[in-house]
Amino acid sequence: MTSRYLSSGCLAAIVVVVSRRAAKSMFAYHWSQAYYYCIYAAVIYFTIASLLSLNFLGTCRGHLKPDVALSTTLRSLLLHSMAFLAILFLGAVVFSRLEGWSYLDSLYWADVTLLTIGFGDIAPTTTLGRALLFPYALAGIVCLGLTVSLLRKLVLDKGSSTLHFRRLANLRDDYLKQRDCAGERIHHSDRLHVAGILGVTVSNPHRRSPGTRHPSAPNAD
Amino acid sequence: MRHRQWTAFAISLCAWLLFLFGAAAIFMVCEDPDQNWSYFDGLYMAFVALTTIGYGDLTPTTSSGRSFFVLWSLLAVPTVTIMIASAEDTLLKALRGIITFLGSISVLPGESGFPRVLKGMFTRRPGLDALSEHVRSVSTIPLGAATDRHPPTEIPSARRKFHITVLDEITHIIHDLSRQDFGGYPVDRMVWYMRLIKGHDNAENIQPDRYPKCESHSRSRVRMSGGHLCTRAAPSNQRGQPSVWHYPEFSVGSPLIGPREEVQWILGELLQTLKKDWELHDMVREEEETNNGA
Repeated sequence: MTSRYLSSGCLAAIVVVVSRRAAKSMFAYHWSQAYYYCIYAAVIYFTIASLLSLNFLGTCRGHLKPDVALSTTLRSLLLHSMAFLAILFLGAVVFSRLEGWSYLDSLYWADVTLLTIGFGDIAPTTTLGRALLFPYALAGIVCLGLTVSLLRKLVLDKGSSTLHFRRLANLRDDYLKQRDCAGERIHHSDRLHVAGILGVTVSNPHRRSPGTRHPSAPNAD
Repeated sequence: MRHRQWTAFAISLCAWLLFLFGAAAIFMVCEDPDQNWSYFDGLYMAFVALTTIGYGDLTPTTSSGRSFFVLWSLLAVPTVTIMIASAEDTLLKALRGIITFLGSISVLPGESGFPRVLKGMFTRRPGLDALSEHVRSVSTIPLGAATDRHPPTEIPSARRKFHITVLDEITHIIHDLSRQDFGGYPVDRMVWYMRLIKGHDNAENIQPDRYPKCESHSRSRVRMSGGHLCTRAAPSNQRGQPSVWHYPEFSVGSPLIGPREEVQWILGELLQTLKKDWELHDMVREEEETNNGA
């Protein structure tokens, strides 16, 4: 965490120093792509460090669980995204050598290629480069596809299901407490109201029948 | 479940729009000195890139534009893919009824034939009855002797009857799980299942519809396996006060996660309960036999 803050600070310092010097100089400068990447890196490092320290504080105060359960999906997501980034960066190195592009232009090209955008403003021209595109694009696109599907599985399904379940659990707890305290005195319309929030049905206490099914469900019996 | 998917779809749609319009502004600023882009040019470029069409007639050329493009596309393009996938979950499901209906009148008219379906279209609720009938015939799988559901009130006192009740409930749950439109159980039925899971001997000790607060309960202590839920404690209202009743299985941190998984969990636990009860029964009988033998 501290090291993140340190590196973020270093990057920010570099950016500030460089832009000061550029402002003082007489010549008109064009900022290189590396300058902008430096800014992005500083911002991202700062964000990550802040998130980590928030997490740390939360754990210390006992709001969060200290152990992070690394599920198989999470692990494979980490591995896949790292593999994708490795393919992106290594491919950029290889193709910049082959085609004589600058590394960061090559990175831009690799990004456009692997995300299947394909602008075509930069394209390989040598035969070797064109031949190498076949395995490179295949590997990168497949890897990206896997990463995205894992991300979807993990973030959307799991994350929102936890959210949904927490809400459901709290509502149920409230409902049961209310029911047990007031007994049968809870008005039926209240029950229906609660049921609306819960997204499930609540049986009518005055109707002792097995009809506690979902109303929209077809009569399955 | 459904609500959840729509939420996911809405979130990814908002993220997509934010990425699109935000990036358009940034590209406009970045490319202004070099190519003199208008906001629409930026928007056009962002859209062509995001949808991975990639004409390439407008591309970022300045170093600021290119570096931002790499960062942005790595974040935004997966978001679009996620949005399309969640649209599949929501929009396609919403349209499924219409698609089924169109299929029933065009491709497979069914047993009743095409004129009947057409006639159904012009009755009181055009199409909907035929549609719901069709969906029902598709989605319900007949399952053996599915008797009427036991009302979730009292646990049968006889052991044999208890077993039959549990088996009946298992049949019903399997049936429900196979249904497309299954939306989870009402709270009362969940409580009833929880009581069944406790097993024959324990369920009897618990007052109907409620069981006492568990002292050893903590959020993370509810164990998944073995069916040991921490509600086996003796009734705790010795002081004669109506204490606040607590259902640890329903509170945050319980092993029940999400409606469908919840029901699957209950199914497993019910089977465990039956097994344990039978084992216990056998043990008791063996002991009796050895005692008799001695």
